[in-house]
Amino acid sequence: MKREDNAGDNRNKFYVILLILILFMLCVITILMLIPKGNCCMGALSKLYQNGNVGGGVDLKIESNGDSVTSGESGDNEQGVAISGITSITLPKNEKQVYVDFCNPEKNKDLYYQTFELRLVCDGGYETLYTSGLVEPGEHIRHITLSRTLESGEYQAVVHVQPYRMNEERTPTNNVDIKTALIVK
Amino acid sequence: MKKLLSVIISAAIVLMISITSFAAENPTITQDNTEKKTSITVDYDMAESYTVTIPASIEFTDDEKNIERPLQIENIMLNEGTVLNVNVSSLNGFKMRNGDAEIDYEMMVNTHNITEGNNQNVLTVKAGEHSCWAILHFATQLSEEKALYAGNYSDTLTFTVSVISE
Repeated sequence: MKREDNAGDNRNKFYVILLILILFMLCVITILMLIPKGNCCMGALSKLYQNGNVGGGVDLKIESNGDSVTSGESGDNEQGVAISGITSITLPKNEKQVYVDFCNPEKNKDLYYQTFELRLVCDGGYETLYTSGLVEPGEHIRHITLSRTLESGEYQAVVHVQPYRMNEERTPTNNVDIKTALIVK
Repeated sequence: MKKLLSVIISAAIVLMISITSFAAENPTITQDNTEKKTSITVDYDMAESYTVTIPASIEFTDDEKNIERPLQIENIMLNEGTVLNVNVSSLNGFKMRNGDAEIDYEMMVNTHNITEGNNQNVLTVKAGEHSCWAILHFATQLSEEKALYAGNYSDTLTFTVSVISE
């Protein structure tokens, strides 16, 4: 009689364990099916990291009128300065706080800072809309404040990129003017 | 107990089937579902981009009066039917200055003398090419007779980059 009771208890235990296992598997399957693929928190985190540094470069303010002269401190095998191209800039109308992407390429590591000046081309001259501080290699400037707002339209603009050597004097080098379309809408 | 278990297992099977039905909203293509047709749109916006590398500076010495420096454009991705131009201009009209004193120098690309006018073209790249380069030649007749004063004679070059329709 006792033996039959024990066999019944063991059978019940087996059924309970089986039940728990089935419920656990059901929970796992439900969770796996409800998570959308490629839309997890890590995606949002990685996007944040991709945005990189935001701001106006290092503390030093530079008078960047582009009329500086080269120094005679370079060596024979001096590496050239890499400049990231910009083909067009789109800005919102009537706003001073805008988003751009000015980048000092990683290739300039340990060699050159860069400053960026956004110039609006006018009749026979230009108006400076924004001047950055020194930007370190591998860093971006993304949020800038313009000197004034712009109405809707397409303007001619130039991004003046002035590199500086990473020495104590921070001597300027040859520079680049990137002609670009400034689309305001 | 057996009855309870069979009821629970039946409920679990019904639940699994309903979950699978919800999951079918996201198209899944496997080797087994040959009868189902699923279509997705694949697109990718390739932004225009390029990296231009200019000579940081050119330093003439008594021993080195002819200098070559590369001008490189890499990672070029342009819209079809456009070209990328690089022009060069000099702050002092291709003269190195030290106060009022100045010394001429020449800049050439291949056999083309850039010094003949300001904002001269030095390199053109058509859309579809991924990299391009040119060798810039610099030469001066630097001598003590030509220099009025001791000191550093210098000039600044500005490279103007533009992308225009072909």
